Amino acid sequence: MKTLGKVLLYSIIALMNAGLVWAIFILSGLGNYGLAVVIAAFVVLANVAIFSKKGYPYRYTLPAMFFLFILTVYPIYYTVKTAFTDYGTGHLFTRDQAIQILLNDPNYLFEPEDGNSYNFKIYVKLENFKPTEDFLIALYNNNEILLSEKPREITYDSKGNLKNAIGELKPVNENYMQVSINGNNYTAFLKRELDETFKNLSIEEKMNNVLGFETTTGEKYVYFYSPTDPSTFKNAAFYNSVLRQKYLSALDLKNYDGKRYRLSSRFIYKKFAESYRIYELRVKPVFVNNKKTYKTIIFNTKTNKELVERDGAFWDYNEKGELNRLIGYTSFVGTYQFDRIRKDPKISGPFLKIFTWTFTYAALSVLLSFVIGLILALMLNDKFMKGRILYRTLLIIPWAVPAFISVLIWRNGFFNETYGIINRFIITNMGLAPIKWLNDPFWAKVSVLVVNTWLGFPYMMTITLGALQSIPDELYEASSIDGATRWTQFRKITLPLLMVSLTPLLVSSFAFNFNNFVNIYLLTGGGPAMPGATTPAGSTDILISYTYKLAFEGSRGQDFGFASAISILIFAIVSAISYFNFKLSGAFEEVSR
Amino acid sequence: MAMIQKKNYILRHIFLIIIIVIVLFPLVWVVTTSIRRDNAAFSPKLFSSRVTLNYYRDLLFPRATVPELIKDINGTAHFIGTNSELSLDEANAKLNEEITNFNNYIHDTNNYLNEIKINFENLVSSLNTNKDDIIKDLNSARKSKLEKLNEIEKSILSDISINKISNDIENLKNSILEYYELRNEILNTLMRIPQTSENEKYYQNTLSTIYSTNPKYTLWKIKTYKKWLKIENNENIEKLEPMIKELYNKWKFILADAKSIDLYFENLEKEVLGKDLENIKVYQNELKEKQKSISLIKNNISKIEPLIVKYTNDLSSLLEIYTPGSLKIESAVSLFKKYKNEKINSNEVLSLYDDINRISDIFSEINNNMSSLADFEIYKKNIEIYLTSFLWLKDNLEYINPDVKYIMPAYKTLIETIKNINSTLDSLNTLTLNLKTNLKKLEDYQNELNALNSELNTFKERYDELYSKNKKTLENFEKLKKFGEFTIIKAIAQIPISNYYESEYFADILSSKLFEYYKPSKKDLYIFALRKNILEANEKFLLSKSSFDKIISEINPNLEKLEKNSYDYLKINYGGYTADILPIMEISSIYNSKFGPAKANISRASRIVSDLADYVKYKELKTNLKAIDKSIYNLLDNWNPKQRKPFLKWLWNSIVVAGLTSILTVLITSVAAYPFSRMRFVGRKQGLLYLMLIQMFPAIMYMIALYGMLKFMGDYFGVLGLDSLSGLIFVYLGGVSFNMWLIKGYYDTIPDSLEESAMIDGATRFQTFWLIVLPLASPILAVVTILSFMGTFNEFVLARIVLSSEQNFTYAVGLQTFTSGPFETEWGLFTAAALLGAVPMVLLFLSMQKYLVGGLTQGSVKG
Repeated sequence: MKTLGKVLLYSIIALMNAGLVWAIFILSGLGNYGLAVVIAAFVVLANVAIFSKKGYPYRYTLPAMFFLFILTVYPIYYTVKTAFTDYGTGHLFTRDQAIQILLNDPNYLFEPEDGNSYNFKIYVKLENFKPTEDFLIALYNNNEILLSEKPREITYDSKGNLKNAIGELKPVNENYMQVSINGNNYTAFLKRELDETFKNLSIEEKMNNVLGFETTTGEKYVYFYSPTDPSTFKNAAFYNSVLRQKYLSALDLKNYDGKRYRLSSRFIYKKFAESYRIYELRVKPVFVNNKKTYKTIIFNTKTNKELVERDGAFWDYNEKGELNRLIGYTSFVGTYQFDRIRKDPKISGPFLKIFTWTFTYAALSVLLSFVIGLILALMLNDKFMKGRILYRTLLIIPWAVPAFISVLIWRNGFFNETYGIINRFIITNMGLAPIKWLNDPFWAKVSVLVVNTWLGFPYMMTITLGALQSIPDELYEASSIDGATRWTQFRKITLPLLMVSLTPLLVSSFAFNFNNFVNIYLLTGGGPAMPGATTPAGSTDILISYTYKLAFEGSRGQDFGFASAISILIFAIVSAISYFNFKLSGAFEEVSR
Repeated sequence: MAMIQKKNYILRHIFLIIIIVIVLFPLVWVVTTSIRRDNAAFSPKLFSSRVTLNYYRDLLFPRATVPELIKDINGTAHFIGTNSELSLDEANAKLNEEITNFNNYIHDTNNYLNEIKINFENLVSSLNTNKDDIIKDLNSARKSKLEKLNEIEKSILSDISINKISNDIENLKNSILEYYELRNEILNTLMRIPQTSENEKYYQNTLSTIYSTNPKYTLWKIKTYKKWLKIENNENIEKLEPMIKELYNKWKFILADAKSIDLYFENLEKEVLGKDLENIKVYQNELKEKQKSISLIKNNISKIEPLIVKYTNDLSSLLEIYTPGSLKIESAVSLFKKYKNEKINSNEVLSLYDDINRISDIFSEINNNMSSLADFEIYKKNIEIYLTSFLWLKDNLEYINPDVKYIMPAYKTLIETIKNINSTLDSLNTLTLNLKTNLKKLEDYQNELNALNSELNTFKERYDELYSKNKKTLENFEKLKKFGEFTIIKAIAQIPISNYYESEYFADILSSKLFEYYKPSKKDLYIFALRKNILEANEKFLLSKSSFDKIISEINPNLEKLEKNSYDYLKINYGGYTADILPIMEISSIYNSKFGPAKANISRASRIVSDLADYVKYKELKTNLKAIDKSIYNLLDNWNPKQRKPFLKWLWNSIVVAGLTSILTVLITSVAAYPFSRMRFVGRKQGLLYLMLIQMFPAIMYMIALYGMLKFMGDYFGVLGLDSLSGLIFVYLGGVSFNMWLIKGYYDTIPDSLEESAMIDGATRFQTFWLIVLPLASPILAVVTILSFMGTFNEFVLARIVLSSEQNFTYAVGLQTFTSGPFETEWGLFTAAALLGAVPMVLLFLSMQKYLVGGLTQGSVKG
């Protein structure tokens, strides 16, 4: 039994190791070295913990460690790394991906002016009188008829979208209307006799007589659709939503003479036309330190020019010889993102405002909610008052309601400028003009603070009540004998003692509000926008919401690199606050117990 | 001492209660808004007594209302969207169910319409049965208005005697009494004419003529009287005509009398204020004149401004072109200067003289023009260079020898430059000229404007000074100058109301423009015009009912056809072929074209009825009104388009994500916390510190990294990608560190001796943990699970980043969609959705309060 358990345990460990090592290989193959290194570090640690006697305590922490590695350590590394790149709109892909797109995307095709083009007809196998996805496609012009089976080589991207499909065309014997593809013999069945007169018909007329194709094994493909034949348009739905989307849109038909045909945009997708890829991958020998090495380059086969790589993007010459940006990729830009904060006046100005507002906002939020919480706590801290539990419970409710719900309620029901009840019932009844709560920089700040105070004071009240109860009554008794007034008592006893135990919590609260994204984002969205800023900076934006907007919502595109740079700043500030706080609260001593 | 204590408590209670009312007001508002029937975002009332639970029903049991049902039927019949996977029989069953639902709606609609009709009939008849009571109440309401009017009279006559016109006033009152008598006589005469369906229109016209605030005799005679004569042969009709004419004249006399009273006060005003009044009038006229001229000039300025902007833009882009050329011509000329030796008189060069002469002239003009344009400082130098260069060239052409090698490039440059600038030089000149003249014009206008403004201000100051000196008197006289009209209103208010028409007349008089300084509330007007309002609502409803009847009678046969042939229709459309199904198209077009007007009428009726229901105090009327209001609401609720949101799916997503996340994190955390509590090892201190530090950084700080990681995973592995719940759960697992301290602290309180004795009995370390420590810690684990559940349920940001398709939203992300776009004003739905999520969370929070507060002091942070 014991050996069985051991075998089981070891096989689990072996499986885990194998899985993780495999993941490391795959990840480094895909170029994600950061994650690979993090997982590798975990594998080493895990094995040490498992196989070393000394590592026993670590075994318990392995699962937690795994997630901490991947979801906190790696993200920190990733953020730092991204801050030194231009990752963002226009630079979303890696260089390899960008090359793959240039080589595979249907946008980068060209159709020679004098190339062949063919009409086409689709023949579909029916099952229970319903069309299936098994089909033949016939291409024809005045000279010849070509037939292809459903493509066999089909590649998809990771989301399951069609990337490329390759089919082979075979010429049909026009006189007998027969063809053999991959060992299957297809014979057309016709509306009329296949006699001598048939042979004299034009190709167009011959095709019009074809009802379908039949294999020797008796499988039938019936005429289903052609974009040039209105009588088949009743089948257009199936053609467009299934056949075209799943196969034809990226179908690359290879003819026997090596020419390639695709559904042509030049003919509004009603014909197949000769078409080729504009870009090809080539290698170019370069000499580095007198040693010959090869460099991959992208080559434009139309203009016979090599693509230029500049500013983290591929550029191509157009007919006039001007350079056009084709596609960008992420590249290392050094401290560019940090320099922007300091040097670009259109960024540093708004950034400085946001920076100051973040501190103001956090400090005022803590201050206001603490003052209100303190007053309420002082009132409730009296064992002889009736109903204080009820009051306390009622006052705690704003804390109990999930913040995002409260904020949405405030925003939609209260601060909305047209419908909101503050403007409609309070402001106008006082005879004032409606206030632009969310669109005026000053009032937007006021509304953000009002809501945050409303959300935050119950917490302050609760912690203050807790702290008040720990102040011994004797102090008050002794001082009142000495003739102290209530105000002096409050100033000399209550407040100093409170601050000792509450300061760490207030600092934590400051740190929390420093990153209180939900309130800002859901209430004002950071708005109103600052005039003249080149980034999506708003008057009520705090650093974290600014980061979010840069990364995910900028009207000028996403800017992950810049957002990461700001994230690092936030990291630094919060770390400093935390260090200070740990010192204050004696966390360092608590840890070493 | 005890007394003082008690007093303090009372103050404290009051203070706390006020605070609680303010603090909880948003939540009270949410609760009341989620159950009110009217559209809260547009209602002038903060709270409403008209309640409904429909919003909750729409969220929890979403149903397709008529327009969506039509879309659904269309979808099913054509196998559109997810319906394409249905088999024939399934589709048939679905279609039939939808048709049944439609039939139910029609059935309900008929019921509602009949209910409303009966209620309206009751309402109208109870107007007659309760007439005496209502009239009595209306009179008491009239009396209260009269008191109001007396107060106003007292305030405006406070220090003015009206002895001189008391006779006039008395006369006016008597004329009004006579007017009333005459009108009653007309009414009696009218009553004697039997009311038939044919003459109903004329009957009503006459009624409204005699009870209008300004009886229009001539119009009535042309429109009504003559036609009436044609269809009826009744002596009373003939009697009516002279009487109404007299009524009309009487009213004119009354108005004239009132005017004469006004005139008295006008003269009095002149007497009292004397010269000041004249001056005020003069200033007022001046001010008006000045303002007129100012607006004229402003208008001119607004015409010039865009021109200037355009010229400036054109000019700067044109000048840009000239910049590089100026350097070239400068160097060319300096070359010429260097090799200026003797006169060559090259014909080729001299042939350029005309061009150069012209160009230099134009440049001197341009230079002249530009000297006044401040915006183009940087270009001025260029133009000067051109000018001096060409001026030099003009004088020294004979010296240039184009054949000398060194000069050749300069000469070529000269030719090139002449060629280049020839095409644009004239437009450059006109542009500068235009800009200059327009700027001049603008300046002139601005000067004029400033002068006018300062004049205006002086007048205004004088006027304000004079006005504020006499403000009170002036304002009072404004009212007194309408005292005649006021007397009419007051006189009418003194006459008891004897029927509904008089009451409506009273309401009309009060809201008329006769005396604008007293406007009664909307409620008063509603009450005085009670009968009229009810009849109007009834009329609108009947119009709407006939539209609805028509809609239903047209839809019904189509629906029958659809039901009968559903299977055949489905078979035709099965498998990719699509044929249009006529009955569905018909139903859809009937709805689209006819529901709008029907809705407009019934909505008007609903608005009147709901307002009346609030104002009326007779129980019988009130119940009827409320019943009508409710039925109309339910009826329209069935027919109005209503977007369906997958709210239940969102809730379910949230529960799944929060449930799995909390269970997994607690499982992992509880195991990992054990060695931190029981063992000493290298890295323990750093680990604990790291865990504490990591709590200071909310997960949103890693948003870019987490987003990037999920994108990567989704792109290459197809699991844990963006827009998937599993990906979201994975990201949430980063929170394993969050409750480590709490659990570790609890482990610390479990005595070691239990484990030691178990180990002596042969248990391994892991066994002691699993079998002893963990069960003992189950209370705290339960608490942490619930807290973690709440935390995840309430998380918004990461979910917002990870999830993008509506079906995958969690509750938090979904709720946000209620507050933007077309849903911004759907407060009922939004507040109901908010409450459905908030209430369980609040209850959980309150029951967990103790632990939350306890956790605060043990290192876990929540703010």
